[in-house]
Amino acid sequence: MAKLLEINNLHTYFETKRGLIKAVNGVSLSIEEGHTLGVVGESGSGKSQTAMSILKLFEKNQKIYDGEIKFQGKVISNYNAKEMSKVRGNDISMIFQEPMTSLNPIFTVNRQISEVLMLHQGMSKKEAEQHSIEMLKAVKIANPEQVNKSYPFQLSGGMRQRVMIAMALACKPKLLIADEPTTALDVTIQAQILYLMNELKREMGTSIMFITHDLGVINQMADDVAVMYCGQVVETAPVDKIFQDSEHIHPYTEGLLTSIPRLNTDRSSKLEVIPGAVPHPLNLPKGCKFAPRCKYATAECRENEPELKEVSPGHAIRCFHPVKRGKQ
Amino acid sequence: MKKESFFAKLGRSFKSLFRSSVTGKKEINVLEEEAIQSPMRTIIKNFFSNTLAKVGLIGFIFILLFSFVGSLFFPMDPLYTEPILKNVQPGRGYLDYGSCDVKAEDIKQLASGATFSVVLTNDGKLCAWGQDQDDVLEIPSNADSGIKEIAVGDRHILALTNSGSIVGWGRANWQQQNLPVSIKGMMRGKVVHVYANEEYSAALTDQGYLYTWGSVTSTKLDIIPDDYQGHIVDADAAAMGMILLMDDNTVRAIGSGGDFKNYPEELENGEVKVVSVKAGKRNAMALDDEGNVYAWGGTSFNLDTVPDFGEKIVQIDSGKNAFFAVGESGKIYGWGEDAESILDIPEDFEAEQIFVDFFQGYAISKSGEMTAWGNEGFILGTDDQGRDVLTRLMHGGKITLLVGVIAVLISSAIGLTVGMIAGFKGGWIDNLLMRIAEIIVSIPFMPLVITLSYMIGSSMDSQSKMYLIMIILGLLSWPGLARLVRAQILIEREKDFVLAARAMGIKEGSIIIRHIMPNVISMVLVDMTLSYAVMMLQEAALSFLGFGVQPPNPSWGNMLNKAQQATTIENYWWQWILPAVCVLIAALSINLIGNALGDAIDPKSNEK
Amino acid sequence: MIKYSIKRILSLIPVIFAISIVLFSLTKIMPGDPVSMMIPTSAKPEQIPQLREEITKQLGLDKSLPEQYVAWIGNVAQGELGFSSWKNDDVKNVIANPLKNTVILNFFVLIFSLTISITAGIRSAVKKNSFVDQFWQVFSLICMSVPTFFIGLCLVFVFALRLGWLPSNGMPVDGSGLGEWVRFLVLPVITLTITSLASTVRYVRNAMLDALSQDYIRTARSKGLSEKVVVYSHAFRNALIPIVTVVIAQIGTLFGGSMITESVFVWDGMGSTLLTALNRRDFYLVIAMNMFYAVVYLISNFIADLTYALVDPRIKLD
Repeated sequence: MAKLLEINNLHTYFETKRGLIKAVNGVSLSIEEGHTLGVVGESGSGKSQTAMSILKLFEKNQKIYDGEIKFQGKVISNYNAKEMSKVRGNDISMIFQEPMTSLNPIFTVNRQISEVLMLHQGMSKKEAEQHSIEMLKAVKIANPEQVNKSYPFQLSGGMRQRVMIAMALACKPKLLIADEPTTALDVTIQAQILYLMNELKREMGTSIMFITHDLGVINQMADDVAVMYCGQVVETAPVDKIFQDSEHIHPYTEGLLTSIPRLNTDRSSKLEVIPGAVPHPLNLPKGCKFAPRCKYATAECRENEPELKEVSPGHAIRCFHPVKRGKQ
Repeated sequence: MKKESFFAKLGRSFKSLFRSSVTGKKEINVLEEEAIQSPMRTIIKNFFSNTLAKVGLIGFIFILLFSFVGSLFFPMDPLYTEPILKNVQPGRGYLDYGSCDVKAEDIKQLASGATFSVVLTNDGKLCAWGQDQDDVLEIPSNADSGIKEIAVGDRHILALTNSGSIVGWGRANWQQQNLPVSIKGMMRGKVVHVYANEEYSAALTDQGYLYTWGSVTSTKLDIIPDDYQGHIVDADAAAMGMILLMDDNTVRAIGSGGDFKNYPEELENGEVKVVSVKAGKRNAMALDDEGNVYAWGGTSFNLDTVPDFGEKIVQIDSGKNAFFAVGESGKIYGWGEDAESILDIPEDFEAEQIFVDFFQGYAISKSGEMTAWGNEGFILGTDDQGRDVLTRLMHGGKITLLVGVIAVLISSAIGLTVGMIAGFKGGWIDNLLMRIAEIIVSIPFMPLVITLSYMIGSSMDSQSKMYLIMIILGLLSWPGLARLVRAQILIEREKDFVLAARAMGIKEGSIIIRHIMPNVISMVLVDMTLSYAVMMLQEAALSFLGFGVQPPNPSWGNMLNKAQQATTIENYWWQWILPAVCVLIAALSINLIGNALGDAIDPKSNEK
Repeated sequence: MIKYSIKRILSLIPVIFAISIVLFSLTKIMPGDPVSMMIPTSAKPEQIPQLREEITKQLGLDKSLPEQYVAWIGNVAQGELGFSSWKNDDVKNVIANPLKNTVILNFFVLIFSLTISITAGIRSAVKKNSFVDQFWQVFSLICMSVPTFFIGLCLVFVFALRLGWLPSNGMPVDGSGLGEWVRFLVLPVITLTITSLASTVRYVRNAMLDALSQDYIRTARSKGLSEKVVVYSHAFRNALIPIVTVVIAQIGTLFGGSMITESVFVWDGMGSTLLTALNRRDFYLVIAMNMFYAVVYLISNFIADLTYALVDPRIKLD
């Protein structure tokens, strides 16, 4: 299948008074058309910054230092502001973690959805309003006409996230980047939203880059997985490989997997956690970034940095000593 | 008992602000250190890493030193004024005789005006130094050489040429620099001596006739009794009168300086032979041929009491309110008013001759050395009453800074108390307090303060009015802080960590002191700093309008009061720019400190 | 919205009453005797007691304090603000002209300060830490630290006394054309504008920075909206909410603050009138002036609240 998005060796840094913060430090990944890529990692692992780099939604002190991003075969990472704004919201759109604050509080839902349609699709105000209501219907809002006229503060969190999704999908983008879209929501609402996203993906054929720290959600949503740690991808694989049948696995992924509480595990067995914390971006360790927290780390790991190596087709690991699955 | 524990807790909460929680001395990197530093240490570190904060701090320390230490070195009598020194431009060098390159033995005569001195050499040449007012230092070409004698008034100079004509220049508001044609026409004899003082001049002829012109009518100096005329051999001019030496070595006086005329009988009836006469503002003195000094006139500054010299006096001279005598030994004696350092006579100087006028004294020794004492000048000029602007700036700064501090302390104390009561108690108390705050805020500040200051303080003296201003400013400025504190408390109370503390069963009082107060206190500190600057500006504005600190006590504001007149703005820039610049430096420094403090406490506010 | 306005208006009434009582009692402790100031100097000594009685009666000073207050507040409610002993005329007639002058002055100040502070504030926020931003930061800092009247004095010194381009102070004579008014207005307007800019530019900047740092701005950008639309439509509309409150509420302070400037430029406005009224112990005039200031403040606050409600849907729909 054709690759919709390809990120090669991306480096996105923040310039701060204390030094360069290497938020994204050599990320390579790709998303195939119609697929969902789950990007997983702890906070600070650079997953959100990778997403922001795709749309170049940068802070003032942030920029791409190296690498390229290809979308439908075109290098979009060197687009200027004007070219980029044609991509944003039209070809690639994004939904965010905080539904409560991501909508402009003083504009109606209609205005915020119509805005995109008028901009990218050249619709008239009337058409846009009509379409906006349709989009609200598509995201399973029960009373779309009324919600369309509402202000965000009149809607609940789940409703707002639906509005966000409606807005993001209004122009039928090829790629939807969802940055922890359900983290801030109640579990039941979370399930509804995930269900909705899956359904829309099927209907519209949109690819999704789904960013989360929750492996459970990945299991439900993703076709492929990229695990990130300290601004790097440490493992990429199809989702079933990670969860079931791969021979090898990255120690970090293993850590993540074992720290998921399961219903079927013995209550007497302790939940395993990864010791230590993510290193500060200004104070990254030499060698493998995960080595200080890794129980399998050797002297080699602390000295040299491993490359992302393919261990089986479609499955790559950044580790000198990938963990054998049978061990567990 | 209960109270004590409250304060103990309060103390602990303060201490916890300063205490670092780092106990073990382990190697830690910057980031980790930041994470575990005590809040106060982080604040102090953030504060000092800010360049602007340091600039502000240095500026403020400078202002403090200037006002509080400076005023110790430059004491001030608030009631002292000196009209002849009014509106003098900034500048020093009044005693800078070295600039003239004249040898002591060449000096024939040396005379001083209010802010300058001029020397006449034996070969008839003139040279002047000091502060140039009314172009008095620009010696006209017809007075370039061939000068026999000079006379110097406060701001004008007369020169008598060898040919007997009078050349004058300098201040001309009464035409005092110009011998009137009417007098010239009726003059009996040739001019042999010239005299001058504040805004008038006089000339004495070889036939013993004295003529006066300039501002003489108000001082009655134009009235010279007929029986004096023709018998005058010498004289000395003072502000309001002239003292005359007659051909029979007796003394007479003219002018409105009434006390002048109360000369001792022996000087009038010829019992003693007077050889020299000198006059000050209200006093006069004479020297007889035996070296005795007689002084009479007003009793101020004990000028009429001749000190016991223990030796023969060879020369006498007078400043404005000070008398000087030179003994046979060469010692210089001085008494009277010690204004502008005129009594700081050099010790151990064997004088042969002295020249004293107004506030400048010069002496020449027998060995040909020269020295000077008295008023060296005013670095920052003088105000409209002849007071040194620099000294008044120092003392004015003291008052302005103090008024601000006390007003801030009053308003912060009220603001913090009201805000805390309103924030913690809530309910009708909160409602009532906030209504009161609203009423105070509703009446614009300046009009209300002026109204109050006028209504309550119009009959107060300078000192009480100053306290009144502090209190009014303090009493009307608290609502802002009270609202801030109240809002902060309401916000803090809802914060997660407070809820968590409450959930853990920690007592309300201890939550308040441990968790809420540190944040409130740091906010109050920032507010206090910033409102200190505001208070200073308010004081300046009030005093500028004449409703604040009252003269004669100076404050930076009331020093600007005269700047309401265009003449002051146009001609005397140092009188209004300097106090305003002081206010600016002080307020700017405080604002810089306040801003930096705010940023140090809440770094996010700056990062936005 | 209507309910909200009515609620606000009702809450103003007790405040106005309280202020009037405070002001009225203040004037009563004012030293000096307004009656003796009104007795003409030409009056013969034997006429004085009778004159004094008449004037006391005319001013209503023979009644008890609460009675005087009630009489006064009743008149005030009907638009009768009392009798000015200084001008020998009704307070409202005395105030009319200065009020007009002060309004003219402050009107221009408001226009300029609004336009400049909004443009400068937005630019500073958008180009944070740029030269423009730093210029305005330094400007505000200095202007916040300098006495208002000093700015005025400096302007007078340079433009009136040294360059002679503009009059140093005073008012245009009656019936002057627009040009003459402008000549007299320039310096006081600049002085007041600079003073008010010190805080407003900062305020607009911070409000804009706050708005620009919100999540919905990121959303707006992610939709492909141009930077202009993001800044002026999405961010500014939100920043407007706090700006409106402060700027409109500032009108009240502006009137009070123009007092010093009026005094520097001998502008015949409310400020100078109050100063003279105080010096003349004209206490009805003094209360009327302070009441005026308070009412202007309260009204401008009220307008600010209403505008706030208009701009913010959260209140509008409440």
